[in-house]
Amino acid sequence: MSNLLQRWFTGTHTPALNGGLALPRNKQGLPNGNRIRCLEVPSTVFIPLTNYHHDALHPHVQVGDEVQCGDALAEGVIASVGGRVIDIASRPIIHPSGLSVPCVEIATDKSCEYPRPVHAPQKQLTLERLALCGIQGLGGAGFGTAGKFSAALQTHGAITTLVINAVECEPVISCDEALMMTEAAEIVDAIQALIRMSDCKRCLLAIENDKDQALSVLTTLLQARGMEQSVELCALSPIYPSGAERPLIERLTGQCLPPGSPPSQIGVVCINVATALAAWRAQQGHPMVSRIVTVAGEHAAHATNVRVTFGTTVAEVLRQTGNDDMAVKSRVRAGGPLSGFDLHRLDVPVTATTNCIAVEPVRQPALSLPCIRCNACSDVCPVKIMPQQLHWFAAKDDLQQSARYRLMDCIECGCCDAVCPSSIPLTQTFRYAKGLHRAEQSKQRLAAESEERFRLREQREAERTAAREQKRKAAQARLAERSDPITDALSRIRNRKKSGASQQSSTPATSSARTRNSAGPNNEDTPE
Amino acid sequence: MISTALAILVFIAIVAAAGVALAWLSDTDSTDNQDSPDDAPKSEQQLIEAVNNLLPQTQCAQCGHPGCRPYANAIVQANAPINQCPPGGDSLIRDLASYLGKDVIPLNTQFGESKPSQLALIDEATCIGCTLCIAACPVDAIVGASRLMHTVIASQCTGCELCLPPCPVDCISLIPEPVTLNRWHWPRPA
Ligand code: SF4
Ligand code: SF4
Ligand code: SF4
Repeated sequence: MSNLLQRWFTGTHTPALNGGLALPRNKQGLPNGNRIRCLEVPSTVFIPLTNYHHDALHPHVQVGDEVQCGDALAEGVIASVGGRVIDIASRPIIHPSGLSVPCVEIATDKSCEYPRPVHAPQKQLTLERLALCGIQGLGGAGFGTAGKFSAALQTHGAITTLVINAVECEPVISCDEALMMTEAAEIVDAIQALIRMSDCKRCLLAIENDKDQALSVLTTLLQARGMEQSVELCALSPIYPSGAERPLIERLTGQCLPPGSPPSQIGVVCINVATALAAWRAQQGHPMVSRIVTVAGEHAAHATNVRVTFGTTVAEVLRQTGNDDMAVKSRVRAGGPLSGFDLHRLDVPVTATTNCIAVEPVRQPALSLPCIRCNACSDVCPVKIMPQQLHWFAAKDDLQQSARYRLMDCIECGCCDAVCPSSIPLTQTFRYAKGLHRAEQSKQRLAAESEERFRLREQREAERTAAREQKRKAAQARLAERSDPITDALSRIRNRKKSGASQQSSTPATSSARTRNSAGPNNEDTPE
Repeated sequence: MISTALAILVFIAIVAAAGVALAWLSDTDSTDNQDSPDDAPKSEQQLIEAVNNLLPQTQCAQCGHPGCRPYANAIVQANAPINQCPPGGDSLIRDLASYLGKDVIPLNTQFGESKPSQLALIDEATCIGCTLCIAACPVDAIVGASRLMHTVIASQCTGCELCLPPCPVDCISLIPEPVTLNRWHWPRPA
């Protein structure tokens, strides 16, 4: 209802975001008419053997193997360069934990030049091709793109709405805008290919209204191709976090996403604009081996957007962009100023989820004071959580009450932190409590599984004992039925003597009795 | 005069009605806020099921019962003390106490000490393939065949230690459960 009223009053198609922050955009390093620079492929790259769920994957290659660009290194992981596998060992990756995972180290074959198609071009894009080319979300989460489409087809039966997310709402990050400024024509091709592949009823392209150049180029192109009917261009006001998937889908479609369920549940597939382009490249035969990374931040000497081959280390990116001197004295972050995290070290490889490398000044964390109940946090929360109330329970590990205050709906956007006058680490507490909740859930799941295995084992043991018991009883019964072989033989002899039989015929009879006597117990399978 | 009295009566009526309404509202609110289990009496089987769901399912038998469900039976049917499960530790005692309406008591360390979660690791070079540990594992987390190397399926091991005593070459050890990427979560802010 309020959405409808808002639509009438503002005359816009999409309702405004709840809360959110109008932050200084601070987008540096946009290409402005130039091409995006491709960084040189380093002599070695490191490809982590892990996926969206952070599972450790089993490698399909061995040390010493020659690999081609686009070859599968593990399930869903492809080689970003051709060369020789020189090591498979645990190495730190870009992750807030600073933990290590097994990575394939490839000594690159310099002759492998990007871009060169490695598969035959397709007439029509298919999900198999997306999987083959290792297409995964470039928006930050890194979920497999083919998986998104097939989940929607499975759970909802069809794809009703395809959302192309070009909203890059976080300050500093500008990789998608740079891409749209330089490769708008391909992006429109990509959208067309995806509409055809998904057979969706509706396609929405969401973008902020302050990305003037990208917006005007895309509008012109869509009109020139006669696609203004099939693709609805939604120009949103540049409020952080407009680009967050769940609130965005709810605003665009007017449908409510049930808590905890993915957009595929309501037949919506939302993919980042750079992912869409990568999908189109996959149709042409290019595996996804690189992405555009924003190198920026307050301490960055040269803010820029560059194309980086996956597996290049952050240190190498900083060196090639001329930011390595400043990085030494600064704090290097992966991701934006609100949603990102500090890196523990710089020899970690860039992956599909690395949208930004920010060189920021070292800051002391502010001292947090008690909550003054100003409600600033609940005013800005885009998912209408009451952070001050939730914090009260989450900080005390009270998961039950936290769930009532919708802990799991928090999208960890950091808006509440940014406005809290008491500098309470709200978002961090929610991240911690969410982790605790997931750990608790997985503990319960494992407990249920081990109980089931215990039950099956008990059942199996019981069956085995019963079977053994039955066999023993049967053997006993057989023994009881049959008379003693010795008495048998004696009675036979007695019978023969009585009938006055000759000595010759009695010998084989006794010997046969003896054999049976000695072999008898051995042949019986009576367990003791 | 009459009108004044009427006015006072009406006023009193309104106040009383408001009072009743408020009392009722606060009542529903307070019952709404209670997280205690439903007041409906539970059958013994349901109680056992619920208690069993709270137990850690390590199946280590340290409580003196051959597995978690037998201990759940003993708690419900024989009124066994609720402080005999070392893997569950204090948090389990708290949960059981609040569920069964009993007092929180400290863990009875006669049954063992509460330890951080751990898992078994077979030194595969030393293993002689005797299959004794397979027979001992309560949750079928060890695989191997006679006279061939055995190994522990890490994701299924509950760290119950039952495989240690039967091993004739002492090649099984317990290690603290490693923090992997999919088990890591953000720390509590300082
Ligand atoms: S971090 Fe969570 S609680 Fe805070 S504003 Fe964002 S969604 Fe709301
Ligand atoms: S913004 Fe901070 S001080 Fe204000 S209500 Fe929220 S937590 Fe409390
Ligand atoms: S001590 Fe605890 S975990 Fe071990 S069998 Fe008994 S109830 Fe289960």
